[in-house]
Amino acid sequence: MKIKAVVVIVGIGLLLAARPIVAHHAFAAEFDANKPVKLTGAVTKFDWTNPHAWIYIDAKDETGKVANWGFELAAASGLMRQGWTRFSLKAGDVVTIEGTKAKNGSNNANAQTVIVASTGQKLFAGANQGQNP
Amino acid sequence: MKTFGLVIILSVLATPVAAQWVNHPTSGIPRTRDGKPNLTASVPKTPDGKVDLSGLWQRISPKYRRNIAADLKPEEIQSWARTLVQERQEDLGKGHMSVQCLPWGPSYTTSERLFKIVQTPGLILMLDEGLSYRQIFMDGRPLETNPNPSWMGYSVGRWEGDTLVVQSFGFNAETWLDSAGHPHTEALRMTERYRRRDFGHMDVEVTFEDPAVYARPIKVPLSAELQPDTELIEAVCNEGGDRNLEHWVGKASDEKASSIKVAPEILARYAGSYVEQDLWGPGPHPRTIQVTVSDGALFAELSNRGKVQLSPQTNTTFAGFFGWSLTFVTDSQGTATHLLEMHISGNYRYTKAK
Repeated sequence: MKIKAVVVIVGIGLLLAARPIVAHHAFAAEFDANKPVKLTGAVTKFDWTNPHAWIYIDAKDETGKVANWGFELAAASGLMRQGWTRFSLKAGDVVTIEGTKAKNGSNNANAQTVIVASTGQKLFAGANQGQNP
Repeated sequence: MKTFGLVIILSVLATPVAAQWVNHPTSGIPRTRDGKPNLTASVPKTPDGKVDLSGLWQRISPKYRRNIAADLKPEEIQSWARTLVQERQEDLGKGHMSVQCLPWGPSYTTSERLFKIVQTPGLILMLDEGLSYRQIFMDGRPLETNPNPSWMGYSVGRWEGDTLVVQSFGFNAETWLDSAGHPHTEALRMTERYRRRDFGHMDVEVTFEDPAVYARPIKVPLSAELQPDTELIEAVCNEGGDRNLEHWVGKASDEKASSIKVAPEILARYAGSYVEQDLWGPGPHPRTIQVTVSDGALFAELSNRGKVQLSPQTNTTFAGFFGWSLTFVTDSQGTATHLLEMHISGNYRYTKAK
């Protein structure tokens, strides 16, 4: 039991030691801070890419119409420093995503929180948000 | 043997599946009795007695990362260059190498990126996560007088005592010297000085000389910290194609135009010092934001990057913070308890200091 505690502590220590690298593109160039959006739907595509990863979901809008929405995340390399990978999410997973809408009126937003509907697990959170993988 | 097997199994369980080499212990570095890297141990030397700079380093440059000309007077910068900087800021940095997915050029040496130094007797390599590299020739060759312009330039190095001095020339003029957008010409010459203070810390000084743009050499002091027990992670910037550029419609002036008037008594409740809680991003952490009120307007200063005037969009959300927005979260009396710095990658929380 002692060994397990030590190993767990060392594991957490290693996770926190690495400083993540995130591309700091201007939020204001793409998104409108005054247009929050919260949508739930099944993942159609998860693009594990730099400079930003993207999640696509089929979600119902306020009128009940289903549309495909894209949500922009941090850089794939930055997410990987936090312990996330391309395998952290797959097509078909149902997630609830909160963010702010794109300025150009398209079905895009940034992803501030990503929560798996079935388990409540918070995905792609930063180092201090408590729920690393 | 049983215990050994148990440790291996538990190690696998405790380490995320994703970890792989991201959290692999670096071999050959001094450690304290509890196994932690000893970053204040003495400077390592190569077999021939030179300082060994090898390792994975994080540059730290809070003051000059955004604006390398922070100490220059406006008249020391050519007027065409000042105009260009304003245009680039109005476009929120759309032409920056990180947005256009191009190599960082000379600004690579002053930006807060991870870099790996591989040192051999005749050649020092610097490797970047974006898959660009620098070769610093230590074999005594001179720089060419008229080299074909390139993204990362041509570099030669020598030792001055324990300091590595690198001189570079032959850059193309496509890159910016910082995220503010300061330009340079093909005549740019760059000198870097690296002095490893102890095992984990290095002093760096980069000097840019480009008399066609700047009246005097620009000296940029910064530091670097060794990053033990981790590795470079490949980050190929153009994997996503132009997807984020399709949505890149915002201008810095949009938010000035859409700003509203917020009552001074509401602004006064936001004044104070805020400390970062979510430790994303490069650079020194935790960062702090100082919020002040002056002449009926709200100002914010991020860890020595300079003070900027914020544009109120609502009573709680303010734009104009280096391309990010700030939202104040208040208690039942309307006094701010923390703020959210809004990034593409999500909100970073800052708690108000008591």
